[in-house]
Amino acid sequence: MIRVENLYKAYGDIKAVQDISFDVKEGEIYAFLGENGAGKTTTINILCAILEKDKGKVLINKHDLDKNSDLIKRDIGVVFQGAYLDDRLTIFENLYVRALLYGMSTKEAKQNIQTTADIFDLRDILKRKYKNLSGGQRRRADIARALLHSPRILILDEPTTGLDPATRNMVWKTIKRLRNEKGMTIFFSTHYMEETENADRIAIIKKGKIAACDTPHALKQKYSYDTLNLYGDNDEIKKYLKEKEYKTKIRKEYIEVKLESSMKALDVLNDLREKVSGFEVRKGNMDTVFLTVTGKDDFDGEVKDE
Amino acid sequence: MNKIYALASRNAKIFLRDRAAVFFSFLAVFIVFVLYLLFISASITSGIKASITANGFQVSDKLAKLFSDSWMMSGVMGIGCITVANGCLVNFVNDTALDKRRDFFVTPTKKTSIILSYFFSTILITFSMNTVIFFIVYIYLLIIGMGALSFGAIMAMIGLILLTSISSTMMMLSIALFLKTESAHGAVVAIASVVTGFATGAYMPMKLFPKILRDIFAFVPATGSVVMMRKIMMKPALQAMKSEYPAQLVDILADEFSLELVVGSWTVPDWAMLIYHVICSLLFLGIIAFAVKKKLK
Repeated sequence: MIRVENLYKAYGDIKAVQDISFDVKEGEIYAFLGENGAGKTTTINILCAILEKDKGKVLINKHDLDKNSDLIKRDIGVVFQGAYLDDRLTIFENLYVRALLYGMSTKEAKQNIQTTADIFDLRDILKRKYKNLSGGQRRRADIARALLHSPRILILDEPTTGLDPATRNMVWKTIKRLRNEKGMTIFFSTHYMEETENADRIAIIKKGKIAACDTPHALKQKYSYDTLNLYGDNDEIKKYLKEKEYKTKIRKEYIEVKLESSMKALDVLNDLREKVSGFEVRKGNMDTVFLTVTGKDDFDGEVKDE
Repeated sequence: MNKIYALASRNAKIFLRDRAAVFFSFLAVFIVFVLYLLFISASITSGIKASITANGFQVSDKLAKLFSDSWMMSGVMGIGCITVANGCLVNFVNDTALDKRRDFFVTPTKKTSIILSYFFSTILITFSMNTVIFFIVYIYLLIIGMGALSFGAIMAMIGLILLTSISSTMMMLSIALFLKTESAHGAVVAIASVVTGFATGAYMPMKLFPKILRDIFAFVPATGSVVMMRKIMMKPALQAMKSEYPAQLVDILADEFSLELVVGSWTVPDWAMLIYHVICSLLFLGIIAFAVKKKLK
């Protein structure tokens, strides 16, 4: 559904996106994970045809971005990180203006607004000004705006940044429902690791390049690791871990030990039974995948958090 | 066209619902109006009286006030066309500052349609509001004793308001395209209001400025508009004077109050002012087209 080949974009000397290639299948939820400034938004802006690329090829629903950007714009709905609807207009007025921009007739626009309002539970607040909405209502209106023209692909640029947990949960329920009920292709960027668990595939972008791309399970298999956090007499524990050549991070209140598998924790705990006052075993997750892929997995025995 | 209508309607609603923006777009007009009522009116009226008395005639307070008021009110009209256009364009600058147009660029809508929407909404509002101001001013002048304007004169005034609204919108939009923040726009509005007030001779007759300044001010498009508006709005007052005083005396007054636009030694005819207006509008249109292609975000 989305094919990107050797995409390149620079702002002066800064190479924002460097020859990245990926493809997103129809009906897939695809996550673009990276730190701020990694190149996520630049890539999304190019996909949405609001930023010109320097090099590369982008095909969306078989349309070439260079030749048919208007057709692409009809195929995609975009939810931006910030709020772009107008504060002084009601939800209805905001949606109505955008509907006409997609070439709908006034009748079609009104029908689509009502349908979308029903899906997102906005019917009772359609006449309320955007500035008077709660954070959750605003986000629902933003997503409704993106889906007004029934796009086949929904692109979301950090859709949950700055939202409270309840609203984030609502956004994800909505995204999953759209994929499950309408078979919509979802492409989203985020820097929240836990959100990528919702994706079918994840591309981790680092300094404008894709550092890894696979399913969450495969990425965890390849890059994740379990950890054991040990509390207690630090010097004795440190001496033991050094002797056994475990990789560690020295935290303010505990020592974090990198394990090959969580079962290895039993060996360590048996040996240190008299020396630790407490422990916790943590299964590897997307956080550890991200840290490994981006080279920030610094288990070097140095003091952290201080 | 539906897209331009949708966006223009959006722009107009946002502006009209922002009471502060509407108020501030009229602020320069209000200030001139209040200053005129409190201070300038008396000095202009006494100036008219002194000029006529010096030539051995007497003038009634009513006629002097009618001359003074119709001179001032037509100046106010010229400022209104600039400041209201500027006020409407706050919305454009806000959209730039907040990157709001991103939401339009992801739709299959051309940049030209987007810029035209600002253009049409600003012209429509500027024209409508200044037409209302014109009728308020006209009714006021009728109340204080001015003879009625002919239908042709009223239509000519409305035509001039439309022309000035278009050229002002083009001029201010071509500037607004280069502004990135509301505060920068605020500074431009303040400067434009003051410069327009002086350049058009709204605050004081251009005759009082040095010759070089008068020649420079003559190239401000709104100056020609105000001169043409004054010729229409002051016709009844001048006719009333001509019925009581020799034509030579009325001509002296007309000269003192700069009722003609003079560049060097050339008295610029109305057709030349109209052509100049159109040329300036096309020039600003060129700047807008360039800026839209290169800079519009």
